[in-house]
Amino acid sequence: MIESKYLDIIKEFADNTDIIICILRGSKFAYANQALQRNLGYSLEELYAMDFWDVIHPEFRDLGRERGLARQRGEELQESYELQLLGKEENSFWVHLKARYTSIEGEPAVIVSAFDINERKAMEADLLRQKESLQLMLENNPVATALVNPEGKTLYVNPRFIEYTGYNLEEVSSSQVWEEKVLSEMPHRQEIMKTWYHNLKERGYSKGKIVLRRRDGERRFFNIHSVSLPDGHIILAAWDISDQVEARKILQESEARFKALSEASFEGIIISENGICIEANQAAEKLFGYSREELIGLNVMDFTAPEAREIVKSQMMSASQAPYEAVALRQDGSRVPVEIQGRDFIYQGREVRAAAIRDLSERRRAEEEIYRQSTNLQALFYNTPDGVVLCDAEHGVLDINPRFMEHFGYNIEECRGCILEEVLVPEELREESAFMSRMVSSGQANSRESVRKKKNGELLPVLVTMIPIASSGYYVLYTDISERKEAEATIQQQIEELEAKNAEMERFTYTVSHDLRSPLITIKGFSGLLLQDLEKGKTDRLQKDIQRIINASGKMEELLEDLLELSRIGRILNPYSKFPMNQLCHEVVELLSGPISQKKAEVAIAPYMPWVHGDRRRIAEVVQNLLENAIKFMGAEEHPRIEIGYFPSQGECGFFIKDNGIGIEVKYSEKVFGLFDKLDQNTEGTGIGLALVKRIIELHQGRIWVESAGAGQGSTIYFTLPAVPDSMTKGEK
Amino acid sequence: MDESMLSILLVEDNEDHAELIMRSLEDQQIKSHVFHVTDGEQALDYLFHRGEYSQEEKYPRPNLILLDLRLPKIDGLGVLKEIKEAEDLKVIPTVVLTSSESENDIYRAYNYYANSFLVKPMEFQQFNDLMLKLGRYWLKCNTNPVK
Repeated sequence: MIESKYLDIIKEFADNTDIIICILRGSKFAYANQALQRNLGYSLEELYAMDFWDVIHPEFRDLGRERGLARQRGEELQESYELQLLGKEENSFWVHLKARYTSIEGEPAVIVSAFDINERKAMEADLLRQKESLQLMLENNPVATALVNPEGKTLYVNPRFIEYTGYNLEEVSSSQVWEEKVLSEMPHRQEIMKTWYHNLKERGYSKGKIVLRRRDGERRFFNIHSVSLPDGHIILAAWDISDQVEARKILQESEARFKALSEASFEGIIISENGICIEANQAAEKLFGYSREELIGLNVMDFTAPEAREIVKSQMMSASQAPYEAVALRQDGSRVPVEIQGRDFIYQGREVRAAAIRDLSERRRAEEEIYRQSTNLQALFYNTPDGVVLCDAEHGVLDINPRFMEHFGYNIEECRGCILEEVLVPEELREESAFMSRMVSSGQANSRESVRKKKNGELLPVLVTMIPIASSGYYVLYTDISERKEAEATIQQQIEELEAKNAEMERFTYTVSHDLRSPLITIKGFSGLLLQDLEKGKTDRLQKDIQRIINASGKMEELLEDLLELSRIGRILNPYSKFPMNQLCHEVVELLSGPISQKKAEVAIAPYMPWVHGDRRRIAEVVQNLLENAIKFMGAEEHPRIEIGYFPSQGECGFFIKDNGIGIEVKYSEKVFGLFDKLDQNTEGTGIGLALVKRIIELHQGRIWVESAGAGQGSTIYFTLPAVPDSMTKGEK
Repeated sequence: MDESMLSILLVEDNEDHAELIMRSLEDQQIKSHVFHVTDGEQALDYLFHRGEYSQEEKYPRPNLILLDLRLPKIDGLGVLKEIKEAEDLKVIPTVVLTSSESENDIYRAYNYYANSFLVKPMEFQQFNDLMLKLGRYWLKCNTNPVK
């Protein structure tokens, strides 16, 4: 028993401790300390009025009663319990309770002490809960998880592990299986595992990637993390990254491919995200004048010319893939025409737009050049003075120019598709034309002066030039050379005239040097002889020789006069007039009436003769000369007869003077018209008459010739003169 | 026919000139006989013994031909050409004697194988002199091919 002097101290302790202390008498409180009152929320008075069982949580009341009854039956029981008390506010809390059975004043009593184990109980519940959720977590963890003990034996694998590897716990429990099967794909697995354990030991964790061979033989890539627990156990967590690895590999490859492609591309490539450039290739650097680093981060609009921004924006918004044209704005402010083709796609997981940008300036220049050239060519085609035909390789006409139509009278509808040369080439020139076509078909340009037929059948002298076209077909150029041909003919005619004049001039000089010398030689010669004869006193031939001198002088005078006359005719023609030939002939006959009657010649003039157009005086001289000739060469004819007549000739008037005189041998018919040519030295005259006549006729663009059946057969001299021009005749009427 | 009696064919249409030539030749010591024809046709008729000249004895083959160029009917060059083309006539020395100094005539005459080309001098003395030399040279100095 405790001495009463300590009772107060004990009582004092009991009221100030956190341990619950109470004394029961029967089931009633005989004492309750402050802690009990505080914990349960009852006052002392309330407690005294209550039964002990009232503060025991109902769950434990039966247990308490059983224990109490058992004790009353004298059974030996443990005296401590863990149970929950029930407070005034229905709050319950765990206590560790000890009951000590005793007796007070002979009556059974119980001393109860209890301490709060609420905190411990809560911790225990937490732990359980944690364990359960951990289990749950492991079971459902998408990460393959294993627990390995310090000896390397696998204690636990979660379902995902089995799913991933195909091995169950039994199979992987030994480290041998790991080494020989699971990790068999890793060539340096022993070193790796060594490092692995080392890291675990040193740092408490280890991370890495492994290649894992599944039970079905497939290789998979895993990321593996392991943590060393304090007790030496190891938790392994592994997740399959094969798809990622594959995806990254594919991505890397495609990126590399993109890079290679884009760098190799001549087109600028810009990849943009939300309008901001995120990648650019070399060509784009060159095109825009920015470096790649400068381009990246720029808004696409920064290198789009303001006038093109609208279209670029709308194309980007509509995600259009069709190429369109825009204008790029270079860093230096210059503009470049471009063609853009954009496309939206996923790049590194981002929605981006890639645009291929083609520099059109070169193409534009080329297009402009082509346009310029073709315009120039068109201008040439339509305005050249040459007729131009464009033919295909099969010689069919593709096009003709307006000048061609003018030249030949065909229009394009009539020409297109047909073989032109067949239409234009006269029959006899087919071979030549075919030759030219063959030449041009073999790529050789060639050119030839020829003649081509117009639609109306007229012939046109042309220079035909065939020019092959590099691609196929050829051009044919027709240069009208009719004027040139005419000019050439005129020149040729003039050359001939000049040559004739030259020959005549030579003749003239010859005449002067020969024919004029001739009488001089006579004069001087006989004068010398005269002197000699006189010296010798010979007089028998004096008179005859002097006569020779006189004759020669006379001849010389005659020659000089004729020459003068001839040179006059060569230069001077009187103005042309229109006159009737009849009248002229009658006048001339009248003039020569003396010699005519002397010879007793009969002259007949045709009753009808047309009017002619020419120098009347000169033509009168012609008729006079010819009549004089006829009279002179009448010979011994008893009935001299001279006929003047007319014969029609194309575009001119023909006349003739026919006699029945001595005639002329055919071989001399040309020589009679030569200057001073005489067939018989003994006839009168200088031989200039017919030369003069010929000259006058030729000056009138007429012709003159002589016809005779031969010596003694008479002769006829024909000449032509221009007819009176129609305009003048009409004017007359 | 006397051997020294040489025959000359004078082709000259101008009667006066022919007279002058013949008188000059007559005055010389050389005995010669001159046959005178007045045009080209006659000259060829003579040489080929045609027409009125068909009697060979009467119209002997000349030792020398003096040929004027400007002739009626057939001119001197035509005559020359025929002579030089005729096998038996081409050896006869043919001297062109003309009043022409035309280079063209000179060239053409030689081209037709004229043996000499002489221009009739205007002065009487020179004319006479030339005839003298001509006669002496061709009929004395020169050895003739024709017997």
